[in-house]
Amino acid sequence: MGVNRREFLKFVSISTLLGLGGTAVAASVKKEVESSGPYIPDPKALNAKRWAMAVDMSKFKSDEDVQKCIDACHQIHNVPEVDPAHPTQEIKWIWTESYERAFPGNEDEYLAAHYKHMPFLVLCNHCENPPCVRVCPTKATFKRHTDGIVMMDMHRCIGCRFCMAACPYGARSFNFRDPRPFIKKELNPEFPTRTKGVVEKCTFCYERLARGMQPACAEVSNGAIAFGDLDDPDSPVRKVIDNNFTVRRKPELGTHPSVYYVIGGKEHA
Amino acid sequence: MYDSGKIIAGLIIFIVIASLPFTLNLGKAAAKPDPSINTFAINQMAKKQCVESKAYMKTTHMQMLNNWRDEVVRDGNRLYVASDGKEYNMSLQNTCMHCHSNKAKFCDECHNYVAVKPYCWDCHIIPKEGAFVPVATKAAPVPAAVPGPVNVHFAVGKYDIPAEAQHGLAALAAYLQKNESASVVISGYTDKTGDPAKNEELAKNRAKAVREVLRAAGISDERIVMKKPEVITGGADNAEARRVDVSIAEGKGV
Repeated sequence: MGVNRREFLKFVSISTLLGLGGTAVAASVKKEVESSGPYIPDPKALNAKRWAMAVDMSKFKSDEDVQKCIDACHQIHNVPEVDPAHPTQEIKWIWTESYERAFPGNEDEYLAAHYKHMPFLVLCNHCENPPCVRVCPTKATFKRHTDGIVMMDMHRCIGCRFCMAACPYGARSFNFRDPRPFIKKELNPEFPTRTKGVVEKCTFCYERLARGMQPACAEVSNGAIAFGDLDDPDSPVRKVIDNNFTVRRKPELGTHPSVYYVIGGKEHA
Repeated sequence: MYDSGKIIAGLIIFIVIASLPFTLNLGKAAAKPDPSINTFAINQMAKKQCVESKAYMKTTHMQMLNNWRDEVVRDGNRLYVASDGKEYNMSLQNTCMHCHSNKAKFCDECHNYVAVKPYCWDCHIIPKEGAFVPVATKAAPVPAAVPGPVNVHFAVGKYDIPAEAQHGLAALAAYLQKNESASVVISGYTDKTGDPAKNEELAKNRAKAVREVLRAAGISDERIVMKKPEVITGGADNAEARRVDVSIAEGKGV
């Protein structure tokens, strides 16, 4: 026997010490290499616990007012315009629906025509309990823990379209083709386009919030779209909810949408 | 050896064919990549400094971009604090490509050499190469700095321009002559003493006196904006209050 008990214990304790020291040295070396510094939010950024939107339909006086919101969004986000003859290839961030399609289950054959044909502005509801996030296999779509926005990470999307099947609002669109040739207006050079094979949707203008601006549709809506923190009783969106009767789309599904609607009076054209 | 002729010939043919890729490309080594930093934005910089050191950027830019992407998209952090303490907006399109507006001569130079095709550009928009201004044509005159506002001080009850104010007004006039799109805003003030109605007239006359100086220098009337201040009495100190403020505004008819 070459090694007795004493020799063995000596060897083990010395190698343990060496091992511990070694990891400490390795850790300090690693730190030097990774000088990828701290990341901080922009001090100008708007912050909230849970962003939400209240769309007051009575304040849209004409179809142009509605179209203005859609155009503003699609312009700054480089959303392609696909031939209306191919509705399955349409890319939608914010669009209009009739009453019965926006609020199915509430149809009423005697509902005044005025409400039946109101162009309800619909978009991603940024649900509190988003089914799209639950089904995404790559976490390409996820709910931001900081502000509740349901985000898309295009870098991770594999185009499986589970999220489109899961979303009860049809708020997601798939790029069957390269969208770039279909962007008719001039590209916004500050925002990327998407590529073939990814799913896209409204992101509550996270890139504008991060720079201290309101979402584009809210900004051009002349106050018809209120945007703010649902958690803050003084926020514009809470003011609208406090002072009006509001509805949300398909609340019975338990997704807890963050987009509220004021149907309002007869003012709409 | 049986059939030695055939075997040796076969071996020679095999060696020639197997070494074809080497022999054909002999002396045609791809040029060493030489990414260019000759862009307008970089040439404008006093100190040509990227976000981090050149060596770090060379080896780690892709990891850095991945970290930036995750921070921006997933955590909502927008600013990167570099090791020298400077803050950068984490954006490929708006920060990296703002300076490196020559993708073909900067990014592609190395990427093609090592035969990698990063998929950045499937979505991110390549800056127009027109944004790239070579040094030779960069000699375009840099617009002169906008002169700061000029205060012309007056004696009690007077509205003739004192000699010491002429120099400042001449500088403003020279700037206006060079910059056709700039206009000038003139506001007259008085001190608190005396009759308010007379003071108002005096403030107006003082502003007019300044306008005459600029007119004499050849500045047309539509570029001179006479702006009546909301409060004519300009401040607590009387000597300071008896004055005309003259400031440059970009764009006509402000």
